[in-house]
Amino acid sequence: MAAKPKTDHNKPAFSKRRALFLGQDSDSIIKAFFGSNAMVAIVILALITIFLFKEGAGFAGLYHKSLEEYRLSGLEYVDVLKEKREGYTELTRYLNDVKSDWINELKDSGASQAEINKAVFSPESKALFFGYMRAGSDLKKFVKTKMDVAIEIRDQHTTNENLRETIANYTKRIAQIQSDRYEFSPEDRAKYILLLRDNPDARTGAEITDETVLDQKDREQFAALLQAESEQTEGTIQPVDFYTAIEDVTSEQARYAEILNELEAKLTTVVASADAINFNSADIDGRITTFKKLNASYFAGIEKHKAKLADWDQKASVTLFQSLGAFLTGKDWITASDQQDWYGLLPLLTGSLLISGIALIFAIPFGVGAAIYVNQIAGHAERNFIKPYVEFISAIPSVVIGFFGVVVFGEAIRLLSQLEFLQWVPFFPVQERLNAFTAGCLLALMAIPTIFTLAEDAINNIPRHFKEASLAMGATPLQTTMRVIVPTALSGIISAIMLGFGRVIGETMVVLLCAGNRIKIPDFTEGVGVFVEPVHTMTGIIAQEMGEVVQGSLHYRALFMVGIVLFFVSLLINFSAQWIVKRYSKLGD
Amino acid sequence: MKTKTILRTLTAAAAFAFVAQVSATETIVIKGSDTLGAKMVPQIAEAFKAQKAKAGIEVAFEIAAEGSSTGVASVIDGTAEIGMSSRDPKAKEVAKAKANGIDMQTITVAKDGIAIIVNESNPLTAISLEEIELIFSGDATDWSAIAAQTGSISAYTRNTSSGTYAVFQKLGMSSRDYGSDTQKMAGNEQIASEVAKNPNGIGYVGLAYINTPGVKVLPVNGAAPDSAAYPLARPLYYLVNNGKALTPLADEFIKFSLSAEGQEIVKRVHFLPIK
Repeated sequence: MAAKPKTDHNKPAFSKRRALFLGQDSDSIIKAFFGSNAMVAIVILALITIFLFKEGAGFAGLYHKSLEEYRLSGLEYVDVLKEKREGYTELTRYLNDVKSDWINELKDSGASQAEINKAVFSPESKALFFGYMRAGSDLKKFVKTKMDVAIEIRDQHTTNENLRETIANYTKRIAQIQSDRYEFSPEDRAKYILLLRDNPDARTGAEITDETVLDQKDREQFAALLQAESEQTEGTIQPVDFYTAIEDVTSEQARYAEILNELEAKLTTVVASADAINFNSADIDGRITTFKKLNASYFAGIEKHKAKLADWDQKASVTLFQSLGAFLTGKDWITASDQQDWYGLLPLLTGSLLISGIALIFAIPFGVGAAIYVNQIAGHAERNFIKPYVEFISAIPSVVIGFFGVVVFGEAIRLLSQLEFLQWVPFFPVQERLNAFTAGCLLALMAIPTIFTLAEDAINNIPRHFKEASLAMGATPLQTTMRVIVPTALSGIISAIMLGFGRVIGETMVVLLCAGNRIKIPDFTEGVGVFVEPVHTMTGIIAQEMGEVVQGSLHYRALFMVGIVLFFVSLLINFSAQWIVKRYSKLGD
Repeated sequence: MKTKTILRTLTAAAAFAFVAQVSATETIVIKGSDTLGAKMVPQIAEAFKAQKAKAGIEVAFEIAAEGSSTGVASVIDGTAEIGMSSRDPKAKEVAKAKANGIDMQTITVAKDGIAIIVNESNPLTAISLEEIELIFSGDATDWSAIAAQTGSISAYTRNTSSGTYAVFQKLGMSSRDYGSDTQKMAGNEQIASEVAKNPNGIGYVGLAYINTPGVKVLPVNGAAPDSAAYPLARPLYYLVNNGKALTPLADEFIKFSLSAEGQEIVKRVHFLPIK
C-alpha cells in the first residue's frame, strides 16, 4: 500500500499573512481597485449624460430664433399662401389616381398598349388631365415669387448677423494687437504680409520674411490695416427692417385674388370637359363625380383662405415653449432647405415605435416560448443544444444582420410578395424591399436572445417547491407550467420583454440599412399595409446625419435633442422593467 | 541585463525609423464631397504619388470623403489643406469662413452630370425637367401623371448632407423641398441597386454609376448626360484658403489635377473634363 500523502492539518486554507505595499496590505489595495473601477464607470456615465444634455440644451434657443426669423421674414405667410397651392396639388394627384385606375381598367379589359395610349392621349382626355395640371401655373409662379422675396429677406438678415460677428472679431483682434504685451503670432504675420501685399504703400522698408523682426510701428500699421478692412466689411452690411420689408411679401393681394378667380374659372371648365370622355366604367364615373365635389369644396375654401392670410400677424411672438413644442409634435423633418428647416420628432418617433412593435410581435412568442420550453419541457440534451444556440444569435454583429437584410431578406420578401397565389395577403405585392417590416423582422432576431435569456432566468428563479407542491396536488406537468410557473414568473417575463424592447429601439445599424429611410409619419389608415412602408428612425437619423453637420449648428443640436429623447425612452423602459419586477414579483409573498 | 540592452537598441531604432519616416513623407489632407472622393481624387492622388516617387519624393494622402459640407467646414477650421465640394459654397458658409478670416476659393477640376435613372422595364424613354420636379417634390406620386403607365412612384434620393442632394434640388427641382415620400439612401450605389430592383423606382446618380445592370438612363429635355446642353450638370470643386499659401506639394497636386494627365483620369472615372 502506498503511503498516504502528507497533509498539514494545521495549515489554514487561506493564509493570514499579508504583504505590505505603501503601508497598505493587499486586501485594501484590491478593495480600492474594485471600488475605483466602479467609480470610473459611474463618472464616465455621468459625463456622457452631461455632454448629451449640454449639447442639446442650446436647441430650444436656436430653434426659437429660427422660427422667429421664419415669422418675421414672412416665410410663414408664404406657407399660408402655399396651402392653397398644396390643395390644388392634392386635387391633381386625385385626378391622376383616377387616370391610373382608368389605365388599369383598360388593361384589364384587354386593350393593347397602343389602344391605351390612344384613349389616354386623346384630345378630350388631354384637355382634362393635362389641362388641369397646367391651370395652376400662375398660382405656382405667384407663390414662388413671394417665396423668393421672403427667402431673400431672411438670407440678408443671416448674412448681416455673420458680418456683425466678423466685425466683433476684428475689434477683439485689434484690441489685442494694441495691448503692450502683444507678440506677432505666425498667423498674424501671414495676415500682415497678405495685407501689405494688397496695400504696397503702407510699409516702407524691406520685404517682410519669416525672420523679420516686427516692431511697435508694424503693430500700429497692422492694427490700422485691420481697422480699414473691418470698416470695409461694415460698409457691406445692408440693414434689413423686417417690418417694412414684409410689404414686398404681403403686397399684391388683389392680384392674388385675381389669380385664384382665374384658377377657379379655368378649373371649372376643365372639370366640365370630363363629361366629354367616355370612361366606360361606372366606377370611374363615380370617382369623377367625387372629384367635382372636391373641386367645389376647394373653391368654397378660397374665402376662408383669404381671411387666414389677412389674419396672419408678423408681430405675434414665438415663445421658447412653442419652439420646443414644434420639435416634439412637429410632423416634418426637413433639413438643408432653402426655405425653412424643420425639426419635428414625430416621423422619427413613430418610425422607431412601428419597427419596435413589429420586432416585438415576432420576438415575444419566439423568445418567451423558447424560454418556457427550454426550462420546463426540454430534456437535458435538448436544453444544452438550444440555449447556447439561441444565445449565439446575439454574437452576430448588427451590421452583418443589416447587410443580410438588404441583400437577401428584403429581396426575398419582395419576390415572395409577387407570387400570384399569395396575393390574398393584405399588403402584397410589396414594392419596396427596404421597409419597416424587413427591419422589424431582423430586429426581432436580435431581441430574441435578450428576451429568451432573461425570461429563462426569471422562470429558473421560481423556487423548486412551487413545482413540487403543484405536482403533489395532482396537476400534470403542463398544467404546472402554465398555471403555476409562468404566472409566478410573469413579472420577470414582462421585464424581459421590456428590456428586449429597449434593445430594439436603440439598435442603429439594421434600421439604417433596412428601414428605407423615408422621413414621413407612416400612414396608419392603410391598415396592415403600414408594416411595409419605408420609415426613418431616431437612431438612424442620428447615425446618418451626425457625421456631416456643422458643430454647434441648429441641425447638430436637433440631433442631440433626438438623442435625449432616445435616452429618456430607454431610461423609462429600463425603469419600468425594474419596477414591474419589484412591484409584481409574487415570490416571497 | 542583456535583454535590456536589446530592448533599448530596438526602441532607438524604432524611434529613428519613425523620425526618418516623418521627415521623408509629406501628407496632403483632402476632405469633403464623396462624389469627388470616391474615385476621382484617389486615382489622381495615386498617379501623382507615382510621378513624385520617380523623382524620389514620398507623398502620402489622407482623403476623407463624407460630403461637401465637411469639405467646406474643414477648410474653414483648417483641418484639411484642400476641400472637395460638389456644389458652390453657400452664402452662409462663405460668411462663416470670412468670420474666421478665411478667404475661400473654388477651383473647378471637373464637371459632373447627375443622371436620372429608372428601372430598365420602365417604358419611359425621356423625361423633362418639369416632370422631374413633379416627381421629386411629391406633386406626382403615380406614374400615370406623366406617362401611360401605372404604379406608385418610388423616388430615391441621396441623404441630406450630400452635395448632390442640394445641387439636384437647385438644378432639377427649382429649389423646392423634396417630397416627404422620397427615400434617402446612403449613396449612389444604393440608389442604383434599389432602382435596378424596383420596376417603379426612379433616382438620380453620378455618371459613374449609370452602367449598373438593370437601370436605364433617361435623357433630360432631350439631352443625354454627356452632351453640352444637359441641364443637370454641375462643376466639381477643390476648395482652398486663399489667405494662406498652400504647401508647394499641395499646389503641385492641384496643378497636376488640372493638367492633361489629371484630366485624362477625370474622363476615365466618368466625369466630364473641364476643357
